[in-house]
Amino acid sequence: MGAARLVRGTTSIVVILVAWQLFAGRIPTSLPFPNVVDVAESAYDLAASGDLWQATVVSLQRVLLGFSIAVVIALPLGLTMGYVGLLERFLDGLVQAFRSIAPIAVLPLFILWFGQGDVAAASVVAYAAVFPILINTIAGVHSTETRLVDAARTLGLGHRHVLTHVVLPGCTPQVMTGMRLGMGLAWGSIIAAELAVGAKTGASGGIGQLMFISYAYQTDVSALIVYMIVVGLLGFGIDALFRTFGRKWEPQRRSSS
Amino acid sequence: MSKQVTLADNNASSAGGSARPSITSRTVIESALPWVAVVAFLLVWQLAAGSIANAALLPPPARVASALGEHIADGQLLNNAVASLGRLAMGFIIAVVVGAPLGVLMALSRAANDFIEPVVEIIRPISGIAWIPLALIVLGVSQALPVFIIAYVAIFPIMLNTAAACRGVSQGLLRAARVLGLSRSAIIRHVVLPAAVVGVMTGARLGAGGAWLALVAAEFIGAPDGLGFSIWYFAGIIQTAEMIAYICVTGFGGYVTDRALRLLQRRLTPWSPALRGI
Repeated sequence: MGAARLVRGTTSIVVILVAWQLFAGRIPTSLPFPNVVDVAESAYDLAASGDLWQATVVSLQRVLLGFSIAVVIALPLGLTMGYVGLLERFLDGLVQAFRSIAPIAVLPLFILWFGQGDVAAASVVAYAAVFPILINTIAGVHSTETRLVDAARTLGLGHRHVLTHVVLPGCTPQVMTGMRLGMGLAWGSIIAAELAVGAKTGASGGIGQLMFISYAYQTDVSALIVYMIVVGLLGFGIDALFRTFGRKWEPQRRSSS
Repeated sequence: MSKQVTLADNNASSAGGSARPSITSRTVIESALPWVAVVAFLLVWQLAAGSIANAALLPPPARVASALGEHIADGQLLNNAVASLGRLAMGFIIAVVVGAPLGVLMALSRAANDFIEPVVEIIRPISGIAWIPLALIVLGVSQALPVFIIAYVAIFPIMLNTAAACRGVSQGLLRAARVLGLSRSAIIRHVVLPAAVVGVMTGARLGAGGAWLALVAAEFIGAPDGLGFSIWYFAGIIQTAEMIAYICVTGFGGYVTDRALRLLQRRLTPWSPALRGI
Protein backbone atom coordinates (compact mmCIF):
# COMPACT_ATOMS: atom_id res chain seq x y z
CA MET A 1 0.00 0.00 0.00
CA GLY A 2 2.67 2.43 1.07
CA ALA A 3 4.89 1.31 -1.80
CA ALA A 4 2.19 1.98 -4.41
CA ARG A 5 1.72 5.42 -2.94
CA LEU A 6 5.42 6.19 -3.10
CA VAL A 7 5.71 4.93 -6.68
CA ARG A 8 2.72 6.98 -7.85
CA GLY A 9 3.91 10.13 -6.10
CA THR A 10 7.43 9.80 -7.52
CA THR A 11 6.00 9.05 -10.97
CA SER A 12 3.94 12.23 -11.11
CA ILE A 13 6.84 14.40 -9.94
CA VAL A 14 9.23 12.80 -12.45
CA VAL A 15 6.65 13.18 -15.24
CA ILE A 16 6.29 16.88 -14.46
CA LEU A 17 10.07 17.44 -14.42
CA VAL A 18 10.55 15.52 -17.70
CA ALA A 19 7.67 17.42 -19.34
CA TRP A 20 9.24 20.71 -18.19
CA GLN A 21 12.63 19.68 -19.57
CA LEU A 22 11.15 18.64 -22.95
CA PHE A 23 8.98 21.74 -23.18
CA ALA A 24 11.93 24.02 -22.38
CA GLY A 25 13.90 22.34 -25.16
CA ARG A 26 11.29 23.38 -27.73
CA ILE A 27 11.20 27.04 -26.64
CA PRO A 28 13.54 29.24 -28.72
CA THR A 29 16.67 30.14 -26.74
CA SER A 30 15.97 33.85 -27.24
CA LEU A 31 13.20 33.57 -24.62
CA PRO A 32 14.23 33.38 -20.95
CA PHE A 33 12.72 29.95 -20.32
CA PRO A 34 15.11 27.74 -18.32
CA ASN A 35 15.06 23.95 -18.19
CA VAL A 36 15.50 21.80 -15.11
CA VAL A 37 19.29 21.60 -15.47
CA ASP A 38 19.59 25.41 -15.75
CA VAL A 39 17.67 25.82 -12.50
CA ALA A 40 19.79 23.21 -10.74
CA GLU A 41 23.00 24.93 -11.89
CA SER A 42 21.64 28.29 -10.83
CA ALA A 43 20.77 26.85 -7.41
CA TYR A 44 24.33 25.57 -7.02
CA ASP A 45 25.87 28.91 -8.02
CA LEU A 46 23.59 30.93 -5.74
CA ALA A 47 24.22 28.62 -2.80
CA ALA A 48 27.97 28.89 -3.37
CA SER A 49 28.03 32.70 -3.70
CA GLY A 50 26.55 33.35 -0.25
CA ASP A 51 24.23 36.20 -1.35
CA LEU A 52 21.25 33.91 -1.07
CA TRP A 53 22.10 32.90 2.52
CA GLN A 54 22.58 36.51 3.52
CA ALA A 55 19.24 37.55 2.02
CA THR A 56 17.52 34.58 3.66
CA VAL A 57 18.91 35.56 7.05
CA VAL A 58 17.73 39.17 6.55
CA SER A 59 14.19 38.01 5.69
CA LEU A 60 14.06 35.53 8.57
CA GLN A 61 15.28 38.15 11.05
CA ARG A 62 12.55 40.54 9.96
CA VAL A 63 9.91 37.84 10.28
CA LEU A 64 11.19 36.88 13.72
CA LEU A 65 11.22 40.49 14.92
CA GLY A 66 7.75 41.26 13.58
CA PHE A 67 6.35 37.97 14.85
CA SER A 68 7.76 38.54 18.33
CA ILE A 69 6.15 41.99 18.43
CA ALA A 70 2.85 40.40 17.39
CA VAL A 71 3.06 37.77 20.15
CA VAL A 72 3.95 40.36 22.80
CA ILE A 73 0.89 42.41 21.83
CA ALA A 74 -1.64 39.71 20.96
CA LEU A 75 -1.09 37.17 23.72
CA PRO A 76 -1.71 39.37 26.81
CA LEU A 77 -4.42 41.33 24.99
CA GLY A 78 -6.15 38.15 23.83
CA LEU A 79 -6.05 36.62 27.31
CA THR A 80 -7.51 39.76 28.88
CA MET A 81 -10.12 40.20 26.16
CA GLY A 82 -11.22 36.59 26.47
CA TYR A 83 -11.43 36.83 30.26
CA VAL A 84 -13.10 40.23 30.56
CA GLY A 85 -16.23 40.13 28.41
CA LEU A 86 -16.80 43.88 28.44
CA LEU A 87 -13.30 44.56 27.11
CA GLU A 88 -13.91 42.11 24.28
CA ARG A 89 -17.15 43.87 23.37
CA PHE A 90 -15.38 47.22 23.61
CA LEU A 91 -12.54 46.36 21.22
CA ASP A 92 -14.56 44.09 18.91
CA GLY A 93 -15.39 46.78 16.34
CA LEU A 94 -11.80 47.99 16.04
CA VAL A 95 -10.42 44.46 15.79
CA GLN A 96 -12.92 43.52 13.07
CA ALA A 97 -12.15 46.71 11.14
CA PHE A 98 -8.37 46.37 11.23
CA ARG A 99 -8.44 42.63 10.70
CA SER A 100 -10.23 43.08 7.38
CA ILE A 101 -7.40 45.20 5.97
CA ALA A 102 -4.91 43.06 4.06
CA PRO A 103 -1.56 43.47 5.91
CA ILE A 104 0.29 44.43 2.76
CA ALA A 105 -2.13 47.34 2.17
CA VAL A 106 -0.69 49.22 5.16
CA LEU A 107 2.90 48.84 3.91
CA PRO A 108 3.02 52.29 2.21
CA LEU A 109 1.85 53.92 5.44
CA PHE A 110 4.56 52.13 7.45
CA ILE A 111 7.18 53.11 4.84
CA LEU A 112 6.00 56.71 5.16
CA TRP A 113 6.37 56.59 8.95
CA PHE A 114 9.41 54.35 9.45
CA GLY A 115 11.34 54.56 6.16
CA GLN A 116 12.11 51.67 3.82
CA GLY A 117 14.17 49.57 6.22
CA ASP A 118 13.72 46.76 8.70
CA VAL A 119 11.21 48.61 10.89
CA ALA A 120 8.60 49.01 8.14
CA ALA A 121 9.09 45.38 7.07
CA ALA A 122 8.80 44.08 10.64
CA SER A 123 5.71 46.25 11.22
CA VAL A 124 3.93 44.67 8.26
CA VAL A 125 4.84 41.23 9.61
CA ALA A 126 3.55 42.18 13.06
CA TYR A 127 0.31 43.48 11.55
CA ALA A 128 -0.14 40.25 9.59
CA ALA A 129 0.53 37.97 12.56
CA VAL A 130 -1.26 39.85 15.34
CA PHE A 131 -4.87 39.09 14.38
CA PRO A 132 -4.74 35.30 13.98
CA ILE A 133 -2.95 35.06 17.35
CA LEU A 134 -5.36 37.48 19.03
CA ILE A 135 -8.52 35.83 17.73
CA ASN A 136 -7.38 32.28 18.45
CA THR A 137 -6.24 33.25 21.95
CA ILE A 138 -9.65 34.77 22.70
CA ALA A 139 -11.34 31.61 21.39
CA GLY A 140 -8.97 29.56 23.52
CA VAL A 141 -9.88 31.46 26.67
CA HIS A 142 -13.58 30.99 25.90
CA SER A 143 -13.05 27.24 25.65
CA THR A 144 -11.33 26.96 29.05
CA GLU A 145 -13.28 24.91 31.54
CA THR A 146 -15.41 27.19 33.68
CA ARG A 147 -15.14 24.73 36.56
CA LEU A 148 -11.37 25.17 36.69
CA VAL A 149 -11.61 28.95 36.76
CA ASP A 150 -14.31 28.81 39.44
CA ALA A 151 -12.27 26.37 41.50
CA ALA A 152 -9.17 28.55 41.29
CA ARG A 153 -11.20 31.62 42.24
CA THR A 154 -12.80 29.79 45.15
CA LEU A 155 -9.37 28.73 46.36
CA GLY A 156 -8.51 32.42 46.55
CA LEU A 157 -6.43 32.99 43.40
CA GLY A 158 -6.43 36.54 42.05
CA HIS A 159 -7.50 37.25 38.48
CA ARG A 160 -3.92 37.68 37.33
CA HIS A 161 -2.87 34.30 38.67
CA VAL A 162 -5.97 32.64 37.26
CA LEU A 163 -4.97 34.00 33.86
CA THR A 164 -1.35 32.86 34.00
CA HIS A 165 -1.84 29.56 35.85
CA VAL A 166 -5.24 28.29 34.72
CA VAL A 167 -6.42 30.01 31.56
CA LEU A 168 -3.09 30.29 29.71
CA PRO A 169 -2.09 26.61 30.04
CA GLY A 170 -5.62 25.60 29.05
CA CYS A 171 -5.61 27.56 25.82
CA THR A 172 -2.06 26.75 24.68
CA PRO A 173 -3.21 24.54 21.77
CA GLN A 174 -5.36 27.33 20.33
CA VAL A 175 -2.59 29.88 20.87
CA MET A 176 -0.26 27.58 18.92
CA THR A 177 -2.82 27.33 16.11
CA GLY A 178 -3.05 31.12 16.01
CA MET A 179 0.72 31.44 15.93
CA ARG A 180 0.96 28.90 13.12
CA LEU A 181 -1.63 30.75 11.04
CA GLY A 182 -0.02 34.09 11.88
CA MET A 183 3.42 32.84 10.90
CA GLY A 184 2.08 31.65 7.53
CA LEU A 185 0.65 35.10 6.82
CA ALA A 186 3.81 36.77 8.14
CA TRP A 187 6.03 34.80 5.76
CA GLY A 188 3.80 35.72 2.81
CA SER A 189 3.76 39.37 3.85
CA ILE A 190 7.52 39.75 4.22
CA ILE A 191 8.07 38.52 0.67
CA ALA A 192 5.39 40.90 -0.59
CA ALA A 193 6.85 43.80 1.39
CA GLU A 194 10.37 43.17 0.12
CA LEU A 195 9.12 42.80 -3.45
CA ALA A 196 7.24 46.08 -3.25
CA VAL A 197 10.09 47.93 -1.53
CA GLY A 198 12.46 46.48 -4.10
CA ALA A 199 10.22 48.00 -6.70
CA LYS A 200 10.91 51.43 -5.25
CA THR A 201 14.61 51.52 -4.42
CA GLY A 202 17.60 49.22 -4.35
CA ALA A 203 18.34 49.00 -0.63
CA SER A 204 17.70 46.77 2.38
CA GLY A 205 17.88 43.24 0.94
CA GLY A 206 15.83 40.14 1.71
CA ILE A 207 14.73 37.29 -0.55
CA GLY A 208 11.81 39.31 -1.87
CA GLN A 209 14.19 41.97 -3.09
CA LEU A 210 16.50 39.43 -4.72
CA MET A 211 13.42 38.17 -6.55
CA PHE A 212 12.60 41.67 -7.68
CA ILE A 213 16.15 42.25 -8.92
CA SER A 214 16.24 39.03 -10.91
CA TYR A 215 12.90 39.95 -12.44
CA ALA A 216 13.41 43.65 -13.14
CA TYR A 217 17.11 44.06 -13.89
CA GLN A 218 18.41 40.66 -14.94
CA THR A 219 15.40 38.70 -16.22
CA ASP A 220 17.12 35.69 -14.68
CA VAL A 221 14.27 33.17 -14.54
CA SER A 222 16.47 30.32 -13.28
CA ALA A 223 17.46 32.35 -10.21
CA LEU A 224 13.83 33.42 -9.76
CA ILE A 225 12.68 29.81 -9.65
CA VAL A 226 15.45 28.98 -7.16
CA TYR A 227 14.23 31.84 -4.92
CA MET A 228 10.66 30.56 -5.19
CA ILE A 229 11.80 27.10 -4.13
CA VAL A 230 13.70 28.61 -1.18
CA VAL A 231 10.60 30.58 -0.15
CA GLY A 232 8.55 27.39 -0.36
CA LEU A 233 11.06 25.29 1.58
CA LEU A 234 11.36 27.85 4.36
CA GLY A 235 7.58 28.26 4.53
CA PHE A 236 7.23 24.50 4.80
CA GLY A 237 10.00 24.25 7.41
CA ILE A 238 8.55 26.99 9.61
CA ASP A 239 5.09 25.43 9.42
CA ALA A 240 6.48 21.98 10.28
CA LEU A 241 8.22 23.50 13.30
CA PHE A 242 4.95 24.96 14.58
CA ARG A 243 3.06 21.73 13.94
CA THR A 244 5.63 19.77 15.96
CA PHE A 245 5.44 22.21 18.84
CA GLY A 246 1.65 22.24 18.62
CA ARG A 247 1.54 18.47 18.95
CA LYS A 248 3.91 18.63 21.89
CA TRP A 249 1.50 20.85 23.82
CA GLU A 250 -1.61 19.00 22.78
CA PRO A 251 -1.63 16.52 25.75
CA GLN A 252 -1.88 19.41 28.20
CA ARG A 253 -5.42 19.99 27.09
CA ARG A 254 -6.38 16.41 27.83
CA SER A 255 -4.81 16.33 31.27
CA SER A 256 -6.50 19.59 32.25
CA SER A 257 -10.04 18.51 31.40
CA MET B 1 -23.89 29.33 31.79
CA SER B 2 -22.04 29.66 35.05
CA LYS B 3 -19.19 31.35 33.21
CA GLN B 4 -21.54 34.13 32.14
CA VAL B 5 -22.52 34.72 35.74
CA THR B 6 -18.95 34.85 37.06
CA LEU B 7 -17.91 37.15 34.26
CA ALA B 8 -20.84 39.45 34.90
CA ASP B 9 -19.95 39.52 38.59
CA ASN B 10 -16.34 40.30 37.82
CA ASN B 11 -17.33 43.10 35.52
CA ALA B 12 -19.75 44.62 37.96
CA SER B 13 -17.25 44.55 40.80
CA SER B 14 -14.32 45.71 38.70
CA ALA B 15 -16.37 48.59 37.35
CA GLY B 16 -17.12 49.47 40.94
CA GLY B 17 -20.84 49.68 40.21
CA SER B 18 -22.80 49.85 43.44
CA ALA B 19 -26.22 49.44 41.87
CA ARG B 20 -26.32 46.74 39.25
CA PRO B 21 -27.88 48.09 36.04
CA SER B 22 -30.99 46.38 34.74
CA ILE B 23 -30.74 43.83 31.94
CA THR B 24 -32.05 46.17 29.24
CA SER B 25 -29.72 49.05 29.97
CA ARG B 26 -26.91 46.51 30.19
CA THR B 27 -27.53 45.23 26.69
CA VAL B 28 -27.82 48.80 25.39
CA ILE B 29 -24.47 49.64 26.95
CA GLU B 30 -22.93 46.45 25.61
CA SER B 31 -24.11 47.02 22.06
CA ALA B 32 -22.88 50.62 22.17
CA LEU B 33 -19.44 49.63 23.49
CA PRO B 34 -17.72 48.80 20.17
CA TRP B 35 -18.83 52.16 18.79
CA VAL B 36 -17.41 53.94 21.82
CA ALA B 37 -14.05 52.35 20.99
CA VAL B 38 -14.29 53.40 17.35
CA VAL B 39 -15.12 56.98 18.32
CA ALA B 40 -12.26 56.96 20.85
CA PHE B 41 -9.90 55.73 18.12
CA LEU B 42 -10.98 58.51 15.76
CA LEU B 43 -10.53 61.05 18.56
CA VAL B 44 -6.97 59.83 19.27
CA TRP B 45 -6.23 59.95 15.53
CA GLN B 46 -7.58 63.52 15.35
CA LEU B 47 -5.47 64.63 18.34
CA ALA B 48 -2.35 62.92 16.97
CA ALA B 49 -2.85 64.50 13.55
CA GLY B 50 -3.36 67.89 15.23
CA SER B 51 -0.14 67.66 17.20
CA ILE B 52 1.91 66.34 14.24
CA ALA B 53 0.36 69.02 11.97
CA ASN B 54 1.75 67.41 8.83
CA ALA B 55 -0.96 66.14 6.50
CA ALA B 56 1.60 64.24 4.41
CA LEU B 57 2.56 62.16 7.45
CA LEU B 58 -0.80 61.80 9.16
CA PRO B 59 -3.86 63.59 7.80
CA PRO B 60 -6.81 64.07 10.18
CA PRO B 61 -9.78 61.71 9.78
CA ALA B 62 -11.94 64.44 8.25
CA ARG B 63 -9.41 64.92 5.47
CA VAL B 64 -9.44 61.18 4.70
CA ALA B 65 -13.24 61.22 4.73
CA SER B 66 -13.37 64.11 2.26
CA ALA B 67 -10.81 62.38 0.01
CA LEU B 68 -13.00 59.28 0.15
CA GLY B 69 -16.05 61.39 -0.71
CA GLU B 70 -14.33 63.00 -3.70
CA HIS B 71 -13.23 59.68 -5.12
CA ILE B 72 -16.69 58.21 -4.64
CA ALA B 73 -18.27 61.26 -6.29
CA ASP B 74 -16.10 61.26 -9.43
CA GLY B 75 -16.49 57.50 -9.90
CA GLN B 76 -12.75 56.76 -9.71
CA LEU B 77 -13.15 54.67 -6.58
CA LEU B 78 -15.97 52.66 -8.05
CA ASN B 79 -13.91 51.89 -11.16
CA ASN B 80 -10.97 50.71 -9.09
CA ALA B 81 -13.15 48.67 -6.73
CA VAL B 82 -14.92 47.02 -9.67
CA ALA B 83 -11.55 46.20 -11.27
CA SER B 84 -10.25 44.60 -8.05
CA LEU B 85 -13.45 42.74 -7.20
CA GLY B 86 -13.73 41.51 -10.78
CA ARG B 87 -10.23 40.02 -10.54
CA LEU B 88 -11.05 38.49 -7.17
CA ALA B 89 -14.25 36.92 -8.52
CA MET B 90 -12.53 35.69 -11.70
CA GLY B 91 -9.67 34.16 -9.69
CA PHE B 92 -12.12 32.43 -7.34
CA ILE B 93 -14.20 31.08 -10.22
CA ILE B 94 -11.12 29.59 -11.84
CA ALA B 95 -10.04 28.14 -8.49
CA VAL B 96 -13.44 26.48 -8.00
CA VAL B 97 -13.68 25.21 -11.57
CA VAL B 98 -10.23 23.62 -11.40
CA GLY B 99 -9.93 22.86 -7.68
CA ALA B 100 -13.33 21.35 -6.87
CA PRO B 101 -13.26 18.55 -9.50
CA LEU B 102 -9.68 17.71 -8.54
CA GLY B 103 -10.74 17.56 -4.90
CA VAL B 104 -13.64 15.23 -5.70
CA LEU B 105 -11.32 13.07 -7.81
CA MET B 106 -8.80 12.89 -4.96
CA ALA B 107 -11.54 11.72 -2.60
CA LEU B 108 -13.02 9.15 -4.98
CA SER B 109 -9.84 7.53 -6.26
CA ARG B 110 -6.91 6.52 -4.11
CA ALA B 111 -4.68 6.34 -7.20
CA ALA B 112 -5.59 9.88 -8.26
CA ASN B 113 -4.91 11.08 -4.73
CA ASP B 114 -1.50 9.41 -4.71
CA PHE B 115 -0.59 11.08 -8.00
CA ILE B 116 -1.89 14.56 -7.15
CA GLU B 117 -1.14 14.96 -3.45
CA PRO B 118 2.70 14.98 -3.52
CA VAL B 119 2.71 17.60 -6.28
CA VAL B 120 0.27 19.76 -4.33
CA GLU B 121 2.28 19.42 -1.13
CA ILE B 122 5.45 20.47 -2.97
CA ILE B 123 3.95 23.51 -4.72
CA ARG B 124 1.58 24.71 -1.98
CA PRO B 125 4.20 26.12 0.44
CA ILE B 126 5.33 28.53 -2.30
CA SER B 127 3.11 31.51 -1.44
CA GLY B 128 1.13 33.16 -4.21
CA ILE B 129 3.14 36.31 -3.68
CA ALA B 130 6.36 34.50 -4.56
CA TRP B 131 4.83 33.80 -8.00
CA ILE B 132 4.37 37.50 -8.76
CA PRO B 133 7.80 38.18 -10.34
CA LEU B 134 7.64 35.07 -12.53
CA ALA B 135 4.08 35.96 -13.53
CA LEU B 136 5.32 39.45 -14.39
CA ILE B 137 7.83 37.97 -16.83
CA VAL B 138 5.28 35.64 -18.41
CA LEU B 139 2.13 37.78 -18.30
CA GLY B 140 3.46 41.33 -17.88
CA VAL B 141 1.58 44.11 -16.07
CA SER B 142 -1.94 43.04 -16.93
CA GLN B 143 -5.43 41.97 -15.95
CA ALA B 144 -4.32 38.36 -16.07
CA LEU B 145 -1.58 38.64 -13.45
CA PRO B 146 -3.72 39.30 -10.35
CA VAL B 147 -6.30 36.78 -11.56
CA PHE B 148 -3.61 34.10 -11.86
CA ILE B 149 -2.21 34.87 -8.40
CA ILE B 150 -5.67 34.82 -6.77
CA ALA B 151 -6.62 31.57 -8.51
CA TYR B 152 -3.34 30.04 -7.32
CA VAL B 153 -3.88 31.17 -3.73
CA ALA B 154 -7.53 30.04 -3.59
CA ILE B 155 -7.18 26.72 -5.36
CA PHE B 156 -5.37 24.84 -2.57
CA PRO B 157 -7.81 25.42 0.31
CA ILE B 158 -10.73 24.75 -2.06
CA MET B 159 -9.22 21.57 -3.45
CA LEU B 160 -8.07 20.13 -0.12
CA ASN B 161 -11.27 21.03 1.74
CA THR B 162 -13.38 19.55 -1.06
CA ALA B 163 -11.38 16.32 -0.86
CA ALA B 164 -11.69 16.24 2.93
CA ALA B 165 -15.44 16.95 2.84
CA CYS B 166 -16.06 14.19 0.27
CA ARG B 167 -13.95 11.72 2.24
CA GLY B 168 -15.93 12.67 5.33
CA VAL B 169 -19.25 11.46 3.88
CA SER B 170 -20.51 9.03 6.48
CA GLN B 171 -20.41 5.32 5.68
CA GLY B 172 -23.97 5.09 6.96
CA LEU B 173 -25.21 7.47 4.28
CA LEU B 174 -23.33 5.62 1.56
CA ARG B 175 -24.66 2.25 2.73
CA ALA B 176 -28.20 3.61 2.93
CA ALA B 177 -27.92 4.96 -0.62
CA ARG B 178 -26.63 1.60 -1.85
CA VAL B 179 -29.35 -0.33 -0.04
CA LEU B 180 -31.94 1.94 -1.64
CA GLY B 181 -30.58 0.82 -5.00
CA LEU B 182 -28.79 3.97 -6.14
CA SER B 183 -26.22 3.51 -8.87
CA ARG B 184 -22.64 4.69 -8.37
CA SER B 185 -23.23 7.80 -10.49
CA ALA B 186 -26.42 8.59 -8.58
CA ILE B 187 -24.59 8.22 -5.27
CA ILE B 188 -21.87 10.59 -6.49
CA ARG B 189 -24.47 13.10 -7.68
CA HIS B 190 -26.81 13.03 -4.68
CA VAL B 191 -24.52 12.11 -1.78
CA VAL B 192 -20.92 13.00 -2.60
CA LEU B 193 -21.41 16.25 -4.55
CA PRO B 194 -23.50 17.99 -1.86
CA ALA B 195 -20.64 17.19 0.51
CA ALA B 196 -18.23 18.65 -2.04
CA VAL B 197 -20.13 21.96 -1.95
CA VAL B 198 -19.52 22.10 1.81
CA GLY B 199 -15.80 21.70 1.16
CA VAL B 200 -15.76 24.30 -1.60
CA MET B 201 -17.45 26.87 0.64
CA THR B 202 -15.19 26.13 3.62
CA GLY B 203 -12.14 26.37 1.37
CA ALA B 204 -13.34 29.58 -0.25
CA ARG B 205 -13.80 31.24 3.14
CA LEU B 206 -10.39 30.09 4.33
CA GLY B 207 -8.79 31.29 1.12
CA ALA B 208 -10.46 34.71 1.05
CA GLY B 209 -8.03 36.44 3.44
CA GLY B 210 -4.98 35.16 1.59
CA ALA B 211 -6.60 36.07 -1.72
CA TRP B 212 -7.04 39.71 -0.61
CA LEU B 213 -3.44 39.83 0.55
CA ALA B 214 -2.29 38.46 -2.81
CA LEU B 215 -4.63 40.77 -4.72
CA VAL B 216 -3.28 43.92 -3.08
CA ALA B 217 0.34 42.78 -3.43
CA ALA B 218 -0.17 41.83 -7.09
CA GLU B 219 -1.84 45.15 -7.84
CA PHE B 220 0.97 47.09 -6.18
CA ILE B 221 3.41 45.89 -8.80
CA GLY B 222 1.59 44.13 -11.56
CA ALA B 223 -1.71 45.80 -12.48
CA PRO B 224 -2.72 48.92 -14.42
CA ASP B 225 -5.53 49.85 -11.97
CA GLY B 226 -7.46 48.59 -8.92
CA LEU B 227 -7.45 49.23 -5.17
CA GLY B 228 -3.89 48.00 -4.54
CA PHE B 229 -2.64 50.01 -7.51
CA SER B 230 -4.36 53.14 -6.15
CA ILE B 231 -2.82 52.74 -2.66
CA TRP B 232 0.64 52.43 -4.20
CA TYR B 233 -0.01 55.29 -6.66
CA PHE B 234 -1.13 57.78 -4.01
CA ALA B 235 1.72 56.69 -1.72
CA GLY B 236 4.11 57.46 -4.57
CA ILE B 237 2.84 61.04 -4.98
CA ILE B 238 2.54 61.46 -1.17
CA GLN B 239 -1.21 62.11 -1.14
CA THR B 240 -1.56 60.37 2.19
CA ALA B 241 -5.26 61.14 2.73
CA GLU B 242 -6.17 59.46 -0.59
CA MET B 243 -3.86 56.55 0.24
CA ILE B 244 -5.49 55.95 3.64
CA ALA B 245 -8.93 56.26 2.05
CA TYR B 246 -8.04 53.45 -0.35
CA ILE B 247 -6.57 51.36 2.49
CA CYS B 248 -9.93 51.71 4.29
CA VAL B 249 -11.78 50.67 1.13
CA THR B 250 -9.55 47.57 0.92
CA GLY B 251 -10.48 46.71 4.50
CA PHE B 252 -14.16 47.24 3.73
CA GLY B 253 -13.79 44.98 0.69
CA GLY B 254 -12.20 42.28 2.83
CA TYR B 255 -15.02 42.54 5.35
CA VAL B 256 -17.74 42.43 2.70
CA THR B 257 -16.11 39.42 1.00
CA ASP B 258 -16.07 37.51 4.27
CA ARG B 259 -19.70 38.39 5.02
CA ALA B 260 -20.84 37.54 1.49
CA LEU B 261 -19.10 34.15 1.55
CA ARG B 262 -20.57 33.42 4.98
CA LEU B 263 -24.05 34.30 3.67
CA LEU B 264 -23.54 32.14 0.59
CA GLN B 265 -22.31 29.31 2.80
CA ARG B 266 -25.42 29.56 4.96
CA ARG B 267 -27.57 29.60 1.82
CA LEU B 268 -25.93 26.72 -0.02
CA THR B 269 -24.90 24.50 2.87
CA PRO B 270 -26.85 25.35 6.02
CA TRP B 271 -25.76 22.01 7.51
CA SER B 272 -22.06 22.79 7.13
CA PRO B 273 -20.01 22.00 10.27
CA ALA B 274 -18.02 25.20 9.57
CA LEU B 275 -21.12 27.23 10.50
CA ARG B 276 -21.37 25.76 13.98
CA GLY B 277 -20.69 28.20 16.76
CA ILE B 278 -21.03 31.30 14.58
